[in-house]
Amino acid sequence: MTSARTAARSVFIVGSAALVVAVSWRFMDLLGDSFWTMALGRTILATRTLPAQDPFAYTSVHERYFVQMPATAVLFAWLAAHAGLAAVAATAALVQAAAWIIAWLGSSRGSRGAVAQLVALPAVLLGEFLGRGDLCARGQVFGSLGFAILLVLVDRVRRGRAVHGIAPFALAAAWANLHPSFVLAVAVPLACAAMTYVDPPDERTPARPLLRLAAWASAGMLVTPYGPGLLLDVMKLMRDPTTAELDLFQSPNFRSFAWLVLVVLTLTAMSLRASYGPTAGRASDVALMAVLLAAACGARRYGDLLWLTVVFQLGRSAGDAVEGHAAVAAALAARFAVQAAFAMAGVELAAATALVTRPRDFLFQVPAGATAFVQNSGHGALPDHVYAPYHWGGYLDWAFDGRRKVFIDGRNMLFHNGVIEDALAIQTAQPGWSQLLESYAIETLITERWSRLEAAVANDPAWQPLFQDERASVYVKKPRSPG
Amino acid sequence: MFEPLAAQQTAGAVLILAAAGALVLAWLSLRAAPRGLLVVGGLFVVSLSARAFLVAYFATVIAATWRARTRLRRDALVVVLGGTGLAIGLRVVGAPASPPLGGPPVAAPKDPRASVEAWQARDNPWRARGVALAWARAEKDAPGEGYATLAQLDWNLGERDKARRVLQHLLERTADRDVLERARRLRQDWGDP
Repeated sequence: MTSARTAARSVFIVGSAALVVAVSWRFMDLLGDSFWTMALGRTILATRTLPAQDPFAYTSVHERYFVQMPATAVLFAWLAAHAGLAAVAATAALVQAAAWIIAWLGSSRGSRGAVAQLVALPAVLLGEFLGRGDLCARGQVFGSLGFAILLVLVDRVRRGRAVHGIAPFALAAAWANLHPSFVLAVAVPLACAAMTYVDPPDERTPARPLLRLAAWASAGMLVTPYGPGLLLDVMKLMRDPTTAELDLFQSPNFRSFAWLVLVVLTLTAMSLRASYGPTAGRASDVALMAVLLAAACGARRYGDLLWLTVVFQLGRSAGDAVEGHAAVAAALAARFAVQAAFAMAGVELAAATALVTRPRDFLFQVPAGATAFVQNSGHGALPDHVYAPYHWGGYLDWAFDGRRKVFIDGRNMLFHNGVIEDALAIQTAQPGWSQLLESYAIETLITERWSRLEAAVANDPAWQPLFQDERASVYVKKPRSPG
Repeated sequence: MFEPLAAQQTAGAVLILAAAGALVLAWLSLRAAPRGLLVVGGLFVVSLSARAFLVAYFATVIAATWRARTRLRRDALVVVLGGTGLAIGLRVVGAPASPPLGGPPVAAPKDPRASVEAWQARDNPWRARGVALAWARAEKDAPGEGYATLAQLDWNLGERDKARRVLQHLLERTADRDVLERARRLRQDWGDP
């Protein structure tokens, strides 16, 4: 019976993991950020060197260019070249799913692991589903994975388990080359060490192992092609005013269903942790979640990290809560029988198969037709410069393949010279938009269908429509009449 | 009053940080009182989406903390209040003080020379070109410094044909001797097409 239960639990874990991967795959898109990352990797692979100047935009600042996620860029470009765009999306989906699975499995321990997994699984699936709008193949998926691994390492250290220094070192070294959020590898252990002082002295976990973890991670994050230079550049990015302009770094919609679910789950996890589980580190666990909650209130980007933490803590505290009630635990154990586990795994695998086998169009979110038309309209290429909105610029980087330079793309830090504000003013057709286009010597426009800019351009006799599909329109500036 | 909080405004960010700090205090004070936690949690959620409720939220937390003051450890209070204060201080100090750089040119600049220099200093030669373009247009049939600046900027940006056309126009029509001298120097520097 015990071996049957073990097998049933393993099958349940495999089925659930497959479902998590399938959901991640279903919603994984390729957006502008995916394409400029691949374009950058393609440039690095072609030249065998990291570009010292921005290779893509003609409006970017004339500063030394740091490739902030060199490993991601090269990996994605290599995958795209050798296995196509689907391979890039599949890899990103696997990495994103791995982050969820690590947080989910990390939440279970000992005899109440099955309860933890049962409770945390819906939170994982909800998190994936409600966060689907932001899901995209970009370095951020590695940031999520790094954070999930960090959660497990920090938890082990706080519970008095040994963690070899090489683990945080390797984590930070890999993370630093994959996504700029690697600073968390140091910041989170340091914050946890500081927060141990929220606990009463007799419930306090030692801070020194956390400081050791942070020290190893500090050394690891310097292992980049730029050494400490990359860290300085990332610090600059964090403080750059253009970062605060990005949608991802603005407060979430506090009245949305997705936010409501996240905050209610967070408060539930905080309440469970305040009441159940080991007393050691109890208050600091609650404080850590409050800090992440504050971060998520400030910027949607951190909602992802809060979800992972909530999954981790929710499962663990639920397991602890059930253990405190032996009768409930026994009833759950009896009901969560072998047959039920196999049945759940079967349903999960069927759902996963259905999600994975649905056809995907990886160019759905980008102006592929319009860009191809600009390259060859039937009468040759349309004139430079070409305007496309901020979130499409990355695709133009990829599609132009070095033949033209773009107006703007998703690398905000390169456009702190006013270009971001100008791009937004053009995109929303604010008064003066046509003077801005003239200032930047733009002769061809790729506009979003049904956008304010499209409406404004359509009524401007200086522009001639040449192409239209369901996503984008192309307009070209008419030649001025003589005199 | 009933607008949601937004961290992009310094006041909003300060209130969010203070609310999160208060949440920790509430959880430390009310850990054995699930109903109290429910009330505070509910007020927290509502306060984020309608800031007017922050008054009730903070009042509830203060009352709970006051009632539990003997149970709360002093160093926990120090860490929570100190940490929240530090975060608020960093947010206030670190808030970007400069206004947005760009934005549409709704009116011609009063001092185009200074405006061209300002955009060049901001590492945006294209906007400097935009100012020079408006400046040149304002000169109409009496081309002067605006045309010379536009030609120079077009040349620097690699728009060589445009630059030569503007320069030719300037050489043919300007009545300003200084500008004519500058234009001749430019033609000499650029050579023949």
